[in-house]
Amino acid sequence: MTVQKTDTPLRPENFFKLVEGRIHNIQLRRNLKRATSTSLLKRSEVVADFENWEEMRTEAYEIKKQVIDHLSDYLEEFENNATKNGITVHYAVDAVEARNLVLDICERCHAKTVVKAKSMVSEEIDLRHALEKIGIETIETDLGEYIVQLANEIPSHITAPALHKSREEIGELFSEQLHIPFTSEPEKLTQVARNVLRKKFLDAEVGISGVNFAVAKTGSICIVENEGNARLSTTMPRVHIALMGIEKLLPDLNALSLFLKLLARSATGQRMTSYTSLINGPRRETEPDGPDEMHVVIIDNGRTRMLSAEKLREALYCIRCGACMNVCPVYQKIGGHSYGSIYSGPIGSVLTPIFNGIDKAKHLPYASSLCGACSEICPVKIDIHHMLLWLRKRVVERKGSKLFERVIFRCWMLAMRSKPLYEFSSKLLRWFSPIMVTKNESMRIPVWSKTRDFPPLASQSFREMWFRNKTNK
Amino acid sequence: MTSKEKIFRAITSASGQSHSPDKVDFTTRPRDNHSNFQKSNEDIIHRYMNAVERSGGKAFRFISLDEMLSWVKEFIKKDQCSRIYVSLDETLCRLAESISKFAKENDVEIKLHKDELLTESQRVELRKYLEVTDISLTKGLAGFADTGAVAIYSQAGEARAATLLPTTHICILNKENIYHDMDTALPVLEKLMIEKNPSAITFICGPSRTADIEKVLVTGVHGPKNFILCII
Repeated sequence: MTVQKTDTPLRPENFFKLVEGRIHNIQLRRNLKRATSTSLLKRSEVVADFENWEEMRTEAYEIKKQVIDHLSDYLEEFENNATKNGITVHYAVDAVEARNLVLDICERCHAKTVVKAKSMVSEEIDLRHALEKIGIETIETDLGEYIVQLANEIPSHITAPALHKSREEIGELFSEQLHIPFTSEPEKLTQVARNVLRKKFLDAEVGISGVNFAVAKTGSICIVENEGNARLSTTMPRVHIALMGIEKLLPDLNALSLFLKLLARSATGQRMTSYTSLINGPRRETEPDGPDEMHVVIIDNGRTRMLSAEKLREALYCIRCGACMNVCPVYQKIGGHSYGSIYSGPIGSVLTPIFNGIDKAKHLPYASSLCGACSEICPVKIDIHHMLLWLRKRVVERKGSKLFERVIFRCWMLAMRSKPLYEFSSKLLRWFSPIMVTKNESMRIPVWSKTRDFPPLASQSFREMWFRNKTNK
Repeated sequence: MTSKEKIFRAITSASGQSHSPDKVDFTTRPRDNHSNFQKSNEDIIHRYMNAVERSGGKAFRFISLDEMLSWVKEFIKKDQCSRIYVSLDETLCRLAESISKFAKENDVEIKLHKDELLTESQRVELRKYLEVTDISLTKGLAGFADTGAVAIYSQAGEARAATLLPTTHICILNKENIYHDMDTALPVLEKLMIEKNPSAITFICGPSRTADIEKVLVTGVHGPKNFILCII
């Protein structure tokens, strides 16, 4: 069953429409369930390696807190050491500036082809379209991102960008776009991608990557991956450009060692990914290969806004593992695209209002049951669900909620405060429910029931059952 | 104002609203490494080999260099490959003549890469050779028993592409260089950074892999399909 493509643009403002288009999609929900439950199972297996996993999370939190509390010091230290290593360090205040910096470097070295390894920040600044506009062929080399690029979509998950696609859909896509006979076997499809992309790695003049961690003490960047595309993108082309947010710093290799233990386990349930590269600079004179030129672009793009909001500061500790998405009961049902943003799931519902503006993304903090599973699983102990609650408060303060909702909540508050009123309301609801019951006995509530099932009401309330049993004794 | 100044200004004004405690040196805090690995009585080499296999690679142990050499020769024959690359560090140097002779006898093209400075055209030639190489043989710096990873670094005499482009990568490691985990090996890595300052240190854990299509595991995506670790 092919995924129904909705025409609703992928923007956080369109959250309700996007959810409506996806909530009834059984294939999508199956894909999501399979992918998220596999990741969670593997994660618990490898987390069991450590008796002191909780202490590790606490230490990670404290290290990140220190880095963010002294951000300028660490940035300065990183810049000095990286420059000593032969890296050219640039700063960009916003997306426009970051794009222009990269475009300048590419134009200067007459780049015709650019190979891109996974970088969330590059999606944030919409780099690929800017490069393509000036005629530079830009290839996403991570298999999932490559698939998403061919399909002209945005990634739906931080570590598994093509999570929303079945193998048949990918087979059709490859057959159409790459003019090959149809196959839906993952092994064959991967081989096709390997052959197509191998040539690009070897021809490209520039390789662009993200940064998982930047080590201040050594002036190095660390990239974590499984496919080998980041290594190829940062080794074969003559020029390497690494993009990073200001918050990606760690103090030293000791901290890096801890974070590497946390990242792979939380993201993909692996003890270590196939390749972890610690890149110190461009090719040394005695080395036979590697890029001759290396740049690191340090990007703000709204992160300093997060710094100044005390309640949201912790969001800067995020290491983009995606564990919160895997465990979120809402994400598991609606998938990443429903959020209309490259940052989806629980942490995405904090980041998107900050990056896009709270008015544009006001629905996202409500895309949560506040169960707190995200905060519990976060390897860096970010208090995500409390941030979502705080953001809701901000939305209401800015009159972002509907009048109808405010009235309902006022009524609810009155009922919860008064025992007789509460009991009366619950009896009233059960008397009137037969009017709203459909054939399959779940209650229909206007608008709300379009994307939700309400379980049938019991004939007695728990209180009634309790008292009936007591008197029967 | 430069962009750097703008960003630093924004950071300072943001931090001004909160009281940051003084910096702590986390390296001086003892890390409680009571991972279940270290509790096990299993021999570290055995543990390392299991970890390599668990991560999708293959691990072999040899008593001597000669024993390993005969295994390598057999492997090359079985693989029916046409082109191999050997990075000649001090250990692999001793095999150079023998493996070279074997390659000639079996119609296999071989490139022995010595620790020497290459010219631009030699570098281009080496790269072209590696683009069609089937098997590469290199030496590792350190192994981590908790994950089964091996650390390698960029250096004269070993191309970075040699552990990336070929279909099979065979990495040799001395058994003395196997550590419990990265934490224990940190002094070695720090020493390497200071003394040699390589452009890249890479930790390899198994073959290239992806699960981007329906979470089905496929190996040999962009990097080597086979990763083999030989302990001597």
